[in-house]
Amino acid sequence: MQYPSPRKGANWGRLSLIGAGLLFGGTFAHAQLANQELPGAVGNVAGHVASQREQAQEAPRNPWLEPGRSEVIPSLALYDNPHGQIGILNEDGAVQTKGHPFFTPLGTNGRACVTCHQPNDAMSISVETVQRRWKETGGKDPLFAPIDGSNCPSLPQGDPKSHSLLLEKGLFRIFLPWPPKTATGAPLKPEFTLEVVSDPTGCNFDPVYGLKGKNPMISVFRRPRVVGNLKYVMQPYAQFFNIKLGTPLEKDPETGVRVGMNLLADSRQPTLKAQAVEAGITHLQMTGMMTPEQLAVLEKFERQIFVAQIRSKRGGDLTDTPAVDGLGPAALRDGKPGLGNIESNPVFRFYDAWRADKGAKLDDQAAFRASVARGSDVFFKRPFFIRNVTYINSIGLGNPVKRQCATCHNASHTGMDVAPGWIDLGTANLPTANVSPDLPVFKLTCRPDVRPHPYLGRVIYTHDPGRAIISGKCTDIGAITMQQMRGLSARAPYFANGSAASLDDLVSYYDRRFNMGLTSTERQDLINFLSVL
Amino acid sequence: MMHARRIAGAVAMIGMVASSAALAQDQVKRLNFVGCPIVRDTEMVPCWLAEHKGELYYLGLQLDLQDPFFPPQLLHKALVEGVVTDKPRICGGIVLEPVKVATMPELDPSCNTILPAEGHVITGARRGTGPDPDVLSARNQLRARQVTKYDPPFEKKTFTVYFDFDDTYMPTRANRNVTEAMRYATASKAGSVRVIAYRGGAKLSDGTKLTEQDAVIAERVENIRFALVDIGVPAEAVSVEPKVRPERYTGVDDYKTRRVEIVVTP
Repeated sequence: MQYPSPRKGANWGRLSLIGAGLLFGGTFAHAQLANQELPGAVGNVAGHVASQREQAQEAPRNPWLEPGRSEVIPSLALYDNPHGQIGILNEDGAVQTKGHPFFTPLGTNGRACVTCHQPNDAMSISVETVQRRWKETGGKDPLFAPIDGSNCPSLPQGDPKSHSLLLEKGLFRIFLPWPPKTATGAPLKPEFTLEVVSDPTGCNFDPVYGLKGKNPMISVFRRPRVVGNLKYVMQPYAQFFNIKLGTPLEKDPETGVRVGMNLLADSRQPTLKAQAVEAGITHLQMTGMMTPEQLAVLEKFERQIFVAQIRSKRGGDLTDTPAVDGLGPAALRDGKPGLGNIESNPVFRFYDAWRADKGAKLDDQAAFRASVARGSDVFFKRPFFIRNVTYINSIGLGNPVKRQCATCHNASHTGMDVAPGWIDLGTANLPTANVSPDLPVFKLTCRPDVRPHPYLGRVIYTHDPGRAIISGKCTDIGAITMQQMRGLSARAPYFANGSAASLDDLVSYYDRRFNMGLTSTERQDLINFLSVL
Repeated sequence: MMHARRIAGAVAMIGMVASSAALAQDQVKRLNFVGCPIVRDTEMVPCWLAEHKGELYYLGLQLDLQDPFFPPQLLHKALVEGVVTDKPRICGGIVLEPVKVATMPELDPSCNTILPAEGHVITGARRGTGPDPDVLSARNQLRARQVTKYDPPFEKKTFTVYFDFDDTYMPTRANRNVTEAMRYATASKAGSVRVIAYRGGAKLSDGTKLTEQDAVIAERVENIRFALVDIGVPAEAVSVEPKVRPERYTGVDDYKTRRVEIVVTP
């Protein structure tokens, strides 16, 4: 599909918001367009339309983007969220959803990629949207498909209890073969035994869908990731070796080119195409395969989407003057992937223009912006002991290592890790995981002849073995690939298992986990900073 | 005649140097032990110690992955192999230099001490706990990009990869040698690349001998074979030789026994 070229030199920062649906002839809900998206903003329509548009913008709308519906998403679409607005920038211009594989139900359950990657929710999906969709459809939306939109396909569908993990935490069931298989499909002997200690979902015990079924599967529950800013996510930063593993980086099986190994919570797929194929089979329940043309369109589309908060309720237009250069989706479009944890290139760029003198009288917007600038400092400069994190502490930095948030979240603009792959922060493994009685608990016992988990030893209790489900390695138990930090305001809850309901919970986890001792001001500054990314 | 005299002089000199070295070797006070590491929360960067028989020994500072000293791990004992010096104490510990530190694989919850600074000051570290200064980053990036150019004439060449005790992880400093072996093999169109893994050990100062597991040797040799082939050496040129019989280790530079050699023959 050929998309219109983006307009050069457009002032993305100005948010003169004008409705989309009317002008593009569709019912594109809730999106708001920047000025430059209006074909003939004045002159082409009757004079009363401008006033109609104004009221149409004020009325509540349904932000849900229905699969298969014909819409035109502008090159810069804006959507409200609890902290302000998210901006979704399509580098290649406006996109017609009709017939586009990202927006078209390709499988048998009525879902499309967009079902779980809604523009309104920073190209992920928030639990708020999930709950609203349940109410609107009585649980009949394909979002709640039995295969993974319920706790287990064998449960009575349509009963909210059967969909509790999706409704309460935005979690989808990820089912993976156990014991694991290699990339070629050969059986892989894991370094540990796996027992289900408890499973409120019942799925791991299920005679059909569980670990003892004919086609044995482990079920874990994870949040969908952001489809956007992928030039950063997919970038391989090393020439040959993954410094976390000490082994060569994986390759794109099609091209032989090394890949970043940062896709999905367990990096189980090397490329966007491979991920799309798997998602088509699992989430969309396709009986056939996507065509090469569909895969090519999907990959191109996914790579041209940039996602970031663009407006803050308290901070105003985040790309307005005085300018800070790391906010808004255009900053991601224009930025370069690379290491951000250096003084001349902070991970999320500079906030000096928003700083305020101590004791200065500030209006609410200036005070909020000053708080964001301080929050950036907390993220980038405030040291604390990072400890017991597999693939951070265990690869030569020492345990503990006294550094800052940006030591691990070091990739420019996204706050991922330039060193590819997964780490065990502790969100999945007990005892450091947030209390989650709704999630399954597995007991993994490592063989005596293998290297144990570096900080939990040979018997590990976990809600999600993470990468170990793929690799079968003890050292990988609970290791989850780091997510990007953009669009957080639009896509609560957080962590792969949705165990942090809010930004406050997110910060609390780190404060507790690493005994950071954040002051109340530091804490609020950090939350404000995260809310504008 | 003049030439012969020069050679004789050189031989005599070498003999003197060798005997001084042997004397120096005898006088070196080596200390090899397995003990709990301790981190001290000093200003600028934390420093690392290890406790042995009631005494603290200084191991090094928190640094970067590019640096030769990899700090140990709390929750694990450390294998410390060093030379005791009479330098002024650092961080409250007797200075071991040179020193090799390896993390023992099994968990040991008793090793979990973070000491306060208690007046100890660290100065002169290249970086603190904050963001990396650009000058260092630029240097590191330059180092990372450095590619050795290999030109003829080519001859048999050995690249050595050292490992921590009972460990198979290849950090950047180790896998760099694998990359170099691949480059040399490629430049020389090597017909043979032998990967020889040795089973090392450590002799502690109290006479205890620690020998690496044989399974570790098999994994190291296979990892390096796979890596060489994956990054460009033809599979048919690569052969592996896991030496499961332990190397002789004497308490002197035992870390050298825990190695894999990649022998490239053009």
